Amino acid sequence: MDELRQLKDRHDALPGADDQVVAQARARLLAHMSTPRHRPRFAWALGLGAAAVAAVLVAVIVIATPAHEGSGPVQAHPPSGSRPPATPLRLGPVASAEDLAGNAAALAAAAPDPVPEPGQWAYVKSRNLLQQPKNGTKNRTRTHELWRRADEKQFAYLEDGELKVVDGSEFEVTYPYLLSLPTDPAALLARTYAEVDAEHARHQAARRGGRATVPPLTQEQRHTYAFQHIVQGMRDAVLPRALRAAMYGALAGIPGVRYEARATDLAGRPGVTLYRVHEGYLRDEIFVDPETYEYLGYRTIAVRDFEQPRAYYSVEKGQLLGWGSVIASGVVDRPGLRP
Amino acid sequence: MTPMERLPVHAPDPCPSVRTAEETTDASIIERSRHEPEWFSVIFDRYFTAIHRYVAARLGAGAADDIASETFLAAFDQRNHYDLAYPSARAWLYGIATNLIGRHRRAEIRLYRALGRAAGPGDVENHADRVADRVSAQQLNPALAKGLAGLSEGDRDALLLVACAELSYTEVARALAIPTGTVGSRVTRARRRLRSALGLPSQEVDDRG
Repeated sequence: MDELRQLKDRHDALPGADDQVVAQARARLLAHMSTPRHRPRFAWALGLGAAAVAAVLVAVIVIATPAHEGSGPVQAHPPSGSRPPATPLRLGPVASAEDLAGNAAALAAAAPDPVPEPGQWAYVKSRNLLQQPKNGTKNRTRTHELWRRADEKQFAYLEDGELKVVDGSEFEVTYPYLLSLPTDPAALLARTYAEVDAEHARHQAARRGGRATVPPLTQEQRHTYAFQHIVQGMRDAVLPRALRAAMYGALAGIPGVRYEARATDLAGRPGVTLYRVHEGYLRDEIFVDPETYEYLGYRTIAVRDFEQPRAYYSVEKGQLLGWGSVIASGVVDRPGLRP
Repeated sequence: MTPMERLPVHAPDPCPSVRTAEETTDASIIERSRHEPEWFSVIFDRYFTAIHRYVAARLGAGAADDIASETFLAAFDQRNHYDLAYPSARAWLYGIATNLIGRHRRAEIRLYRALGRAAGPGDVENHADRVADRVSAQQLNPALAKGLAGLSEGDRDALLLVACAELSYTEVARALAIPTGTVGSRVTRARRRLRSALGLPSQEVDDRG
């Protein structure tokens, strides 16, 4: 056997890169793509930490960001002027998604709550929009109660006043996965993007048999899916405060995510909002209690007419595509019990 | 309708696969990636495993994870300089990988020396090293490994691009930015030395260019 053959055979006999290596390299490339070549000039100033410089910059950024349309002008509070605290803990003013996440994290650190044990049940009572109404139709809602075992092996609900316990899970984002997530916002966001990319890679692998190449995710799609991945985990789950705070923080780190100070959830409760407008027309948001930083619910609404003829898909401005509110929630030992 | 029913998470682009890249040349994808960077991931999907294998053959699996990954970062950064006259990006990518491998020349030679020793009876290295050696050996003849360690860098680059990546002389010339004639003389010289290391007759090697 000649030398070329031997070299080739040995090369071909090497084990291929394992899936995890490929996924990591892919994620690294995607992250590299979105890294701006030239950092903004003022970045060095943010690193100074000098209060005066920072305050000026924050004020400029708040004014320059078209983030508060519809919610009236938002004042950039001076660092000293805080609103009356809702708890003994002194929290700073909230003028951004980051502030909201920071306060939620501070609250969580001050009052840690227990993580549900695998055999325990999360109880969630919620009110949801029943169907997607076109403009002019009245919103129909329904309230339901759900028990979900923390190991995701069973769930239960009430049907005609009778408790039904079902084996298995119907949730795309599972409880064990949620509870395994890091409670550092940056780490959580990195993990979320990795999940989004891995999901796309699975989709791509599934399509390769058909010789079609699925187009890569656009940056906009990655941000959209990352947002949706996180907010989906918040629905129908009772989460430790620290994790919820990290989720707010991770959301705040997604480009395009904004804070709005005045909002009302489906149950009519006042709240604040973290929202993102996907693809220029679809506003996705979560409502947060401004006092307790509890998750109140979500809403998805079209803010512009949108049509995608080839996909036979269109929405009208103002059309609600989803709206739900958590009425009550807690951890219990058995299905059927309420906290 | 069960009480479990929830509104689905709403995907704004319900049919993202309308645009398919089937049968699209590397050149047209790279051109497109200049304005829509995410298209570059198609190049990654087409070539990553091949590049990884090539780097693993020269530097071992551990280093390959990193260097194969860096190859695509470097390629992405250089995409504006890609010559669109070449439909296939294969030679270009192998060239970038080869350049990166060049920064680890000592590690490469260490690997070949280890492979050259792998069958030696008086081997007193620790167990982990021997396991690693055996894994990376993958039947490479120790004499051949020693021969590779003795080649000049330029000769080894040309030879391995021909032998492992199966590039033509013209493609190797493009990958290494050298004249095609130089590729021929490097490959010939490298093969002659390896054949002598293997104790094979030093017949005239066939020209693949």
